[in-house]
Amino acid sequence: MKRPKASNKLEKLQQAALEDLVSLPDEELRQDLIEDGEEPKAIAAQMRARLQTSLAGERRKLLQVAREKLRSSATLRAPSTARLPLERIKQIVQAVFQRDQALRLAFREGKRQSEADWQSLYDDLVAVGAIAPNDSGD
Amino acid sequence: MAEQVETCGSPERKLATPDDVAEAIEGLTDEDFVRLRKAAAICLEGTAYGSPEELVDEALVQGFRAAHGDKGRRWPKHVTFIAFVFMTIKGLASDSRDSAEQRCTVRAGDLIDANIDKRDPFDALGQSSPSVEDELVNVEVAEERNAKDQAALTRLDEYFKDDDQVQMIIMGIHDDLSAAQIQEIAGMTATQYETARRRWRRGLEKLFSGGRKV
Repeated sequence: MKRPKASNKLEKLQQAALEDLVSLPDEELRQDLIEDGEEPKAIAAQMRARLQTSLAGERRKLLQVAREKLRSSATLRAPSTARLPLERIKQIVQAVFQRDQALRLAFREGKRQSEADWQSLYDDLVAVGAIAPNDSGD
Repeated sequence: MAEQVETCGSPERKLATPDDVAEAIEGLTDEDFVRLRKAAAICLEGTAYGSPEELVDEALVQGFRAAHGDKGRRWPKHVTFIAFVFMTIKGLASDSRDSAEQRCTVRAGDLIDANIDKRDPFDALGQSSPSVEDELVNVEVAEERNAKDQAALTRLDEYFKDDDQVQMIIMGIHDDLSAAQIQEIAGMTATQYETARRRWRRGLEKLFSGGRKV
């Protein structure tokens, strides 16, 4: 269907403005903000905080998908009932990630995950046989 | 994720990996965020996004998702990350303005009978393709969008009604004239042109950055 005329005109103006923005020097960008009484650091801090929250949510979703994939493709075994220290759990899990890129991608920001997330993932990996329940990390 | 290359009829282009996108996001400077916010402000008009910040956030998240294999725009490494996010912002805004999903859902809902398979309400009519209904919806949506876009253009004209130089720039853009051509026709020096161009861009950002729910 033919695009309405007003939409084409508006899009043309927007495209031209975007092209100006791409090549606008940082100094002129800062000048804009000074005239508007705004501060780049404050704006950026707010946007970074919002983005970190959004990306944390996305990483949790990736982790969930990885876990479900593990559960649905393997025979479950009971995880070890003795709870290992958190640092040992991280070492073992990271060794698994060295061997399996797909798992690493889903959990690549492991340093930002909660203790419960690490323990839960360790249990899943033991359950599907990726980790032996004897603390060997094999 | 292994490096991926797309070949779509053009020279091989590498697509960004999740690590590439994560690194690019971490590397965004304060000025980059400001620049992205301005881009979103310019594109916000007529979309369902409530603020430029919301649109920027969605664009960056979509880039992240696509790099991890989800559907969406993937960053081709031959363009800068900022240029890619600009394109994504523009695309998301355009999709939002074009979206007839809500209207189609309402109309399809009218056709649903409790005893009919809800996956395809048009089957209830014994039609293999809902062309008539879709066409009516498409025409109505297109007319509504055109009216909104025309209203935006009218607001722009009103905002700059006392600024002859900016009006010349707007006309020049519509007529695909170069900066040099616009300067010559309008009798502007290069400095006057640059100053007027800046007034025009900032006017667009201010006028369009309010956002509107459709």
